[in-house]
Amino acid sequence: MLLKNVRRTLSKKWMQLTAISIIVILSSFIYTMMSYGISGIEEPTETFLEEYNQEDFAVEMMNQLTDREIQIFDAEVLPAEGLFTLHSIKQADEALFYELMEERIEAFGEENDGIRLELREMKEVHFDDPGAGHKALVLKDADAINRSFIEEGRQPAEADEIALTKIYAEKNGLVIGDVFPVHGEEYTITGFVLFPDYTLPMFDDSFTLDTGMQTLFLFTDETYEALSETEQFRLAGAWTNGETELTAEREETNFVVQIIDTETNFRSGGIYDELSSSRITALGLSIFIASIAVVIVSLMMHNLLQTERGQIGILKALGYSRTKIALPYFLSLMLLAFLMLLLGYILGFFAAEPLKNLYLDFYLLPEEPIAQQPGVFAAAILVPFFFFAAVSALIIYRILGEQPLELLNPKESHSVNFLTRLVSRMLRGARGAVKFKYLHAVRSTGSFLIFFLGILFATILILFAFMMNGMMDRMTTEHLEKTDYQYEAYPDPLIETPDIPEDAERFLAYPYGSYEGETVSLYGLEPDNTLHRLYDESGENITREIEDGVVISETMRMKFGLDIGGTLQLTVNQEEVEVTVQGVSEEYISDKVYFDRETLSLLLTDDQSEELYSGIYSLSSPPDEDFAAVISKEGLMEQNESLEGYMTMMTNIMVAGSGMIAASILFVLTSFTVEKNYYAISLLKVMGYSRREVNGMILNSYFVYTLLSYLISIPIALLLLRLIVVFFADYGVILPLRFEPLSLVITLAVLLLIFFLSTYISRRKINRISLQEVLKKYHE
Amino acid sequence: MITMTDVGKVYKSGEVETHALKHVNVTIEDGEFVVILGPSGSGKSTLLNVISGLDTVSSGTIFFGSKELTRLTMDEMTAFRREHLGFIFQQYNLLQNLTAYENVQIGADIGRDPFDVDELLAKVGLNEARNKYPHQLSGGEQLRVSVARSLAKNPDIIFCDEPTGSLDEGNSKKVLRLLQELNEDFKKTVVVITHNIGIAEMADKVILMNSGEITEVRHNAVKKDAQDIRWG
Ligand SMILES: Nc1ncnc2c1ncn2[C@@H]1O[C@H](COP(=O)(O)OP(=O)(O)OP(=O)(O)O)[C@@H](O)[C@H]1O
Ligand SMILES: [Mg+2]
Repeated sequence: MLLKNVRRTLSKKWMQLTAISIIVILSSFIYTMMSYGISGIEEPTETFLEEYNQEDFAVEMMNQLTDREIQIFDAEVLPAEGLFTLHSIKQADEALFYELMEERIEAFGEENDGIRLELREMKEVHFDDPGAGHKALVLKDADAINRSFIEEGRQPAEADEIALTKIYAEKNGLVIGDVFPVHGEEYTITGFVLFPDYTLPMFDDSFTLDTGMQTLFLFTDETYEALSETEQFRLAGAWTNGETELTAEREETNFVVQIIDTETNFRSGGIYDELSSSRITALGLSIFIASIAVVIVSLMMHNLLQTERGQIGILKALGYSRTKIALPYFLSLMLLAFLMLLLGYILGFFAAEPLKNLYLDFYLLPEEPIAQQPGVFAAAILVPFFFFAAVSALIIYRILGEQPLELLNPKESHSVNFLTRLVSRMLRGARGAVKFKYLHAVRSTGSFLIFFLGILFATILILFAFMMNGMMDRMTTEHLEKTDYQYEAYPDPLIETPDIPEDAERFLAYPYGSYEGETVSLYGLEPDNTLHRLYDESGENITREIEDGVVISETMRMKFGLDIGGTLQLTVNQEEVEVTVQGVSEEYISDKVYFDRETLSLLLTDDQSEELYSGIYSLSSPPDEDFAAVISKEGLMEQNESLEGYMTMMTNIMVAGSGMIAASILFVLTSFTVEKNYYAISLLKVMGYSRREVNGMILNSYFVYTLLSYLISIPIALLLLRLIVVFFADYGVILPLRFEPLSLVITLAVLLLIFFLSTYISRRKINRISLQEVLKKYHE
Repeated sequence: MITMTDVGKVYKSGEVETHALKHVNVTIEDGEFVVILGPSGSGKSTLLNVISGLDTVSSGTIFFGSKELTRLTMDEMTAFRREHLGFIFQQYNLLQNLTAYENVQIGADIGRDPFDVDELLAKVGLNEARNKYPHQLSGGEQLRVSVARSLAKNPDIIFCDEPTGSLDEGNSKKVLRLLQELNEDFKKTVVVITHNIGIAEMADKVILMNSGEITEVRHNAVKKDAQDIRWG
């Protein structure tokens, strides 16, 4: 009998219950999805990185001989002209090269105890089949550190065999056994490979991470050596007895440009932070949402019991025990909560797979099928459930603890809270209706806080999503769009006089400059070039500034706090060079210093030549056979677009998710308000307040408080962004944070839309409240 | 002047039809003090509700002067109520998060030519309590706030449904005295529903009702003062 009564009461509140359910579902959904999504990668990744011996640190080294090395090794055998890079030394005399590397490893090992080093050899290959602008990093198989892991299939054993990443194969419709052409040669795919030092497909400092256009190759050693691309080297290191401080201060080790710990190395260690921050986000978000859910459920319980006071009083007077009265309310709500948590868990379990794939869209990591785990189940369902149960029980207990007589004598909350007094004071001179408007919303401190924090949280997320979106664009395509070239090409070093197209312009790129211990890229451009002009923040063409000094990228300016007019102490080829910053080019990808090509050429050749160049920019595609690498700008932009597509999707998810939370909160709270003010609304109507005025008095305060919440969220969102910028700065990635007024406007629009949609039902409810309600006798 | 012609009101709940008002014809003159008497369920509240536009009629017409109220839309009726009508109910319906003063202010705000809130509060003897919240007031004080709120906008007609239902004699007579003053000094029309036959002695016109019909309309030759009526 009692249960039936309770069920009828609850079924009348189905809309509120639905909104509450959404919040409850979300709390277990987010936790389950993220936990499973992460665990589907985390465990196999840990095993993989352990077994295949991921480097603990990387030693970036100079791409030339140091003065000391030139003395030790007879320099005669080295090519006399131009720049003698490690690549060209290896080409000229392989034995000498390896001897040199041995020497370097030994020198570093002497200075630093308890480490092991291994030479890492790699080449970057550009190709246009299966799609324009694709590139791969070819890694030579290692012996001990960063060993290749064949996920599927087998390792290449013949000269015409190749292994590449699985995600790349999937995205390009390739399977094991397919023939894969690279520069005219045909290779058979024998397997899918992963390397522990490339958990991200990040081959250079451009922020492109498209696993459908970038991959890792593994060939046999012979095939690797035969590739004509410029070779790059670094030393991969591992500690043998735990982490120690590393130095490179002796003369013997001055070939070291930079030592990077894996933890702070984005390409290899980014995943660690990604996983731990995802875990924290999962936990934080779900705790936050669950707390909202708990408070709302208890508010609802409270309201419910308050309106049922009379009935409960009668039951008590009749002699029903406290538990007997409470149990039906308690059980029905707990059953609902449990079912919703379970539903969230199930949905989360299924959403974990797509989430996992989203990670695998970026990270080159092994995966395993997601399996149920009791721990996740407990954390997603049982923990919040007991939390709900405890809070609800407490409320019921308190209300039912009152004497039957008190219960029969209905009362409103008998104290005036702090907020009411505050707002009341602020509105002292205002009209009565205005006072009513702003006071009723703050009558219950708990629900007001939930409302305020909920909206705050949603706004922050929405704002944040928009800001991130704008930033991504700025980091990637924006800069490329400003340049006029279509192709960037690097001539084959074996061809003496490559066939350079008419419309091409030469440039010189030297990626091994160093400033304050960090690697910076040096670029030489013609001051009057037309294909790669430099622009400052206001869009002004500042290319000519390189005649009198250098132009640096915005990223570099931000990272080192440089300014126009200041001087830079660059280290180039072990020599110190002092240059003046003449301008800042608006690009956010990497640390770049633009020189006049002539100046840079003289610098790099010890005043031997002013004609040095390393590549060309052109409008038409340069002949493939003369160039080792032809990179199409369009291809690059496409890559960026896929990243942007991902960002847009994330933005939409964030906006939709937080919109849903905000809408649920707004809906539940406004409908509580309408219920609580049932008689007041009826009375206002009877007094002659018009429909619009009544709507305004009940709901507009929420509107104003929503706006207030929005305003407060702006600085918080900015602060949060700032924190993220700092986080990335640890990896040397400078995020171009900018305050975009447009995103504020859009956020506001989204918020207003949510407000009007979610209060629509409450509006209708208000309109439906009958005028005679006020005459009925059961209220006071 | 309010003129009701052949007004009927039928409540339908499921199969059951309740004829709460049947062929009611009555006029209420400007400035009159009218008391509606009748047993429980006789249709008094229904009559008041349809006159004041809180509910619609099923048949018949109601005119306010030359304005046909039964033809007005909801919004027009609201505007009409705002301009001309005031209500006093047995239950006070005070807004809980506003003080006594602010509750009255809510009433005054919508009037064209409202009374001064402070003066009104003084008149109902609530000067001391003006900054108290409803839960800090006694039942009698709460009713007086509610009366002050209804009167604050200075309405032409005041409707009261069992205004003294839950008050003791002393407090009831204070309220009735106030109504009488408004009727005599400010020429307001006052319509009071009651079970209390004594209150009928204050009226110009007494309307007696039984099962949805007006059985009798009496005019008092002499009106008694609120203090002097029989109680109970
Ligand atoms: N909303 C409604 N739905 C159905 N029937 C109703 C409704 N309101 C009133 N009635 C019926 O109409 C009749 C008249 O009711 P009304 O409230 O006018 O009586 P009353 O004279 O005011 O009685 P009381 O002195 O007890 O307040 C009653 O029989 C009642 O049951
Ligand atoms: Mg009645």
